[in-house]
Amino acid sequence: MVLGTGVMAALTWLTVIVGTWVVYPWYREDVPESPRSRLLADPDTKDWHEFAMEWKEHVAWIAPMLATAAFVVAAYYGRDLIRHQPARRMAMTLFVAAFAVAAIAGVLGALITKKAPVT
Amino acid sequence: MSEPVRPAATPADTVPATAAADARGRPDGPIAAVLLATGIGALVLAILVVWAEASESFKDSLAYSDRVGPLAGKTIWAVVAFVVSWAGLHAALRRREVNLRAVWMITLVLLALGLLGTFSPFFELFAPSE
Repeated sequence: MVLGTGVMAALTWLTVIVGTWVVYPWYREDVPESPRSRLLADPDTKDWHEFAMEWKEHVAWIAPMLATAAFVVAAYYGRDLIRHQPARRMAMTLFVAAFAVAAIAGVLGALITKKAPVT
Repeated sequence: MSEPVRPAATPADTVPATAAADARGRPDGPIAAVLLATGIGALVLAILVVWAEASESFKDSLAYSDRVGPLAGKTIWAVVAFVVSWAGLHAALRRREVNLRAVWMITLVLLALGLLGTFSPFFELFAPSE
């Protein structure tokens, strides 16, 4: 479990860093062909940027912090987590919250990509 | 919906949160440190998002990278807040017993504020009217 939560936390950090510093610049490039420009150019699709992308790009960064905290709780208590309900509940809540936040960002990202693919 | 049948609570299940680590002879201060740091990181991100929305000049000042724009500064400073507060709180609390339940409640409040502040319909309320 410690290894699993550790790997998940590391992957979450990697995902947000790559998403922000590698993929996002393509999305927001200041050219008419960029996904951001195309979404904003059409009143029917501009909410995909103004609501979905604006939410996703920010909230996603809370996920690795939550996943790191879940990992630290799991690593600190180790096998004793089984016996200690409060600590176990905290670890589970943090992990589920990290997953939920990552899922929001992931689903919104997939939907935005479907509307305006990064080419 | 009926609740599943739960086994009777064992003594270990009923110990207060602060006793969880006591059983191992280790303080729970380090856990309090990472919990609070998570809440602080989320809250700092939310504050930066709202502030950047309200002030164009502040937003521009966060654009450390032309390619990433203001998101670069917002996320860098949120991560700095997370790491620095974690290190500081860890140093301060690592040998201390704390009320983990109270720390957990504070963390949940900070996280809720963080999630609210990063929700686009909320932070867009602070945008200057055009």
